[in-house]
Parts: sequence; C-alpha cells; structure tokens
Amino acid sequence: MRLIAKAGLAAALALLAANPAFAGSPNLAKGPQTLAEKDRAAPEGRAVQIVVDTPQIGATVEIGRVIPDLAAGSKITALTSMAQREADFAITPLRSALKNYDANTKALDAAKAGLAAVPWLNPTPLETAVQPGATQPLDFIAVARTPTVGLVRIGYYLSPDATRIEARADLEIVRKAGKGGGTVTVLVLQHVTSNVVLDKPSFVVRENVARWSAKDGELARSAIDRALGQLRDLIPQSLALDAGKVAAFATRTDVAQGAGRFGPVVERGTAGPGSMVIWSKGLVGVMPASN
Amino acid sequence: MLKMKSSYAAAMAAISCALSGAALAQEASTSPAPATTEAAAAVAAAPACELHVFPTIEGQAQTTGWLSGFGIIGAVADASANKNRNVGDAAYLKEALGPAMQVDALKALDLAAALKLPASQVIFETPIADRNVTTKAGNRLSASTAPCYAELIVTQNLYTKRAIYGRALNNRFIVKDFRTGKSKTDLQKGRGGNGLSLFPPKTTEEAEGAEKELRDVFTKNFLEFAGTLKAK
Repeated sequence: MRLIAKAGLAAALALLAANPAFAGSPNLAKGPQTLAEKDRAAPEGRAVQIVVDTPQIGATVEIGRVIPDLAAGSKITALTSMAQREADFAITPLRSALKNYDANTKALDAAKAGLAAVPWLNPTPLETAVQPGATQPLDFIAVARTPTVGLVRIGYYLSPDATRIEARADLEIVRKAGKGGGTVTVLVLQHVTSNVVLDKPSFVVRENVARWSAKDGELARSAIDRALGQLRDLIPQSLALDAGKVAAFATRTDVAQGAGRFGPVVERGTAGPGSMVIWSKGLVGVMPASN
Repeated sequence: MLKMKSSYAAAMAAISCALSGAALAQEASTSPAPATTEAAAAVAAAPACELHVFPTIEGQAQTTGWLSGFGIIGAVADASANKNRNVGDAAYLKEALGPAMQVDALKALDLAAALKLPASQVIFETPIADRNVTTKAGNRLSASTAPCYAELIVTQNLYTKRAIYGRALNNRFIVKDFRTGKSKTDLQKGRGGNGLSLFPPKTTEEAEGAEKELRDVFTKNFLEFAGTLKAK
C-alpha cells in the first residue's frame, strides 16, 4: 500500500472525468513501459509540461497490508490518514531546516536538462510549473497544438521510515487523436527514481529525521542535489529504453536490492562509490548518503 | 468508543516515550555477545559468518466478535462494530511492535544458535515494505558478499482477537541460507503464534506490561518457528 504522493495524478484523473474536451476517460496512470521507435520522432514539435510535484519535501507513508475484510476500505482510509498526519508531523524539523533551500528550481532544472538530452523529444513548446494544482495535465493536453504531448512530474520525498530521500520523475507521452484531439492514448509511462540512503539508519523515525536536518539540513540538501543529479542522467536513459533492452534486463545474473526495490543491476558505481542502478518496473538509482 | 480511542492514544504516547530512549542504530552485533573486555580480542573473535535480519514494518489487526458466526449479515454487522477497534489495534500494534521492538526482542536471543547456524555477526537491516521482495526473491537482499551468509526476514505481524479463542499474535518468518555458495537459495518459510492476555492495554499504566508481553510473545513465536528448522 505504497502511497507515494500521487495526489497530483489523482487530481488530474478526476479532472479528466469532468473535462468536456475529452470524449472518453483515458487512464493517464497506465501505459506501456517503453516508447515504440515509430512514436519517437516529433518533427512538428511536442508540447511538454514539467510540474514540480512537491512545493516542499514530500512526506510519504506506508501502512503495510490490511486484512481484507468487509471494513478494509474504511480501515485503509483511516490508517492512511493517521499515517499521513504522523508523517507530516515527523518531517517538520526537516522542512524547517530546508526552509531557505530552493529545491524546486533544482528539480525543474534537472528535469529540463534530462529532457534536453533526449535527441528525438523536441520539447516545443516547454511549459513549467512549480506549484502542483496550478496547472492540470489535461488542460495542457487539451490546448496543446502538437499531436503528441509530454508530461513530466518531478518531486523529492522523505521515505516513510526516513532512511532515504528519493527524487522521482514520472515521464509520460500521450497522443491526441480524433475530432479536436479528444481521444488521448498513453504511448509510454515511466517512473524513474533516485534514492540517497542513510548509512546505519535508526529504526526510530525522528532520529533519522534529526540526522537529515542537522546543520540546516546539510545532509538532506546534499542528498536532494545528488538524487536530482542522478535523475537528470536517468531521464534520457529511461526514455531511450526499448522493449528489447527491458527484456534483456531479465537475463542478467547480477541482481540486487536497493531502497526496498529488487531487480537486475543496470550499472554500478556511475554515481559514486556504492551507487547502483537497478531495474524494478523502472530505473531505480541508489547511493549512500555522504556523511 | 471515545474512551477506547483515548486509552489507545495514551498507550501509544507511553510507548513512544519508552522508545525515545531506545536508539537502535543498525549496528552489527555478534551472537552470542563476546565476553572479552578487550576490543581487539573481540574484533579478532568476530565470526566470519553473517546473519542479516530484516524486521517488518507490518502490524495487522483483526478483531472478530460473536456475530461473525452468523453468516454474511452477522459478519457485516460485526465488521462494522469492530472497524474503529481494528484501526486502533492496527495503529497501536504497528507502533508497539514496530522494527525497533522486533530488533530489541531478537537482540536478546542467540539468533544463530536458534536458527542452527554457525556463530554469526548479526546485522539488522532496514525493513523492506515490498512483499514481492521479501517473500519471493531467492537472492541476497543485502550487499554483503560473505561466503557464510544467511538472512532472517520477518514477513507477518498479525494481532487477532476472536470471540472464542481470545487474543493472539501471529508471525511469519523466512530464513535464507546461502552457505551452499549459490547466488539463489530456498526460502524456508514458517510461522509461530501464541496467545496474549494483556494486549491491548486499557490504560496508560498497563502499556508497559502489554508492551513486554508483546515482545515476549514475538520472541516465543520466533523460537517456535526456529524450532521447526533442521540443521544443515
């Protein structure tokens, strides 16, 4: 029951249902992991929107499994609500420490630099927003004058146990078709993450938060910078994947667990000693925090 | 119900206070603990084998009453009546028997001996939430390359209260022994379950006793599981 700040996407889907510009209800939350070669080139340009999903470092929650009984739905809601309140409280010292740190601009820059390294993307025009909710993906799709549209959501979060800081980008390309472009098809949807993990973390959340927050959040700032830096490199790598490359991952014998994910190792050491990138339904970067 | 909620809140606050003094950093410890007073000797005596322990973040609660025996209508009524209690129990159990408490309980044991492994350094790892990783992956979950290596994973933490059988804590565990030298190994799965009489506490004063009971029953469940393993 992972609830990684998908509020923006949920809001977008809710808006979709009410948006008269779209005849059906395309599910923007589902799509192929790779983009077919024939869908890559966009000589006429591709409107791209980048939205920073986190006005400040996001607090994520993990409630584990819930007994599947008749009250499970309401229990999940109640437990999630309680966990979110606790997480928002626990992260307060870190948010205070990062008060004067402009990670939103850095996140935006990382996304722009990552997209700029994709030769076929042709992101024209490129719209950016640092306030989730200020602009909706479906509005952007509706007004875009290009046949395909790119959507990027980028954010940075503290893990539920506060043992890692994760930067995450959701990359999506959709095609508009039909009368007035009212039919939307998701051509690719990828989730790319980069995690900076505390060395010898505590099992007590507030102790980990204290380590990230010490000296005006020195360790957290470094972690966010490094995670966004790796994300910048992984974005073009991810968009370059095709079905053959993803299938080839499954044949690798070097597999590892990192940041709670498990999968074949794509590379080791590229982002510094102890770092690696694994494939686990997306590229997952993991590196140790520099203490 | 308000009274019950406030007692849970008080109990959780008490346990939170108890945990505040328990800085359980994930440091390797040997099992059994070396009895020497000289650090150098202790390092020299550190076992070459490693046992990596992954606690669970999980804390599930299921409370069923007398109406559960009356078909679907009874079950609906029963689930509705117990909804808040289930949430309260789950939240409390999650707090009371979270990773810190599991580690605390397991640190008191000679884990390697209980699991019929050679003397080992015990290393407590960060819990992994994804059950597809903890219950299915046959590979190592840590970066260690030690040839003498094993893993103990806690995969279930379930509190139940039933009208007839009363209260109990059930746990599931997995042991992965990599001493064969292969990169993938079998998952030896098992469980342990025992009754509770103090949990959940009704007052703040009862919280400490309930916490101790939970820890003791967790330990008992682990030893029950460990007893089913055969030495290799």
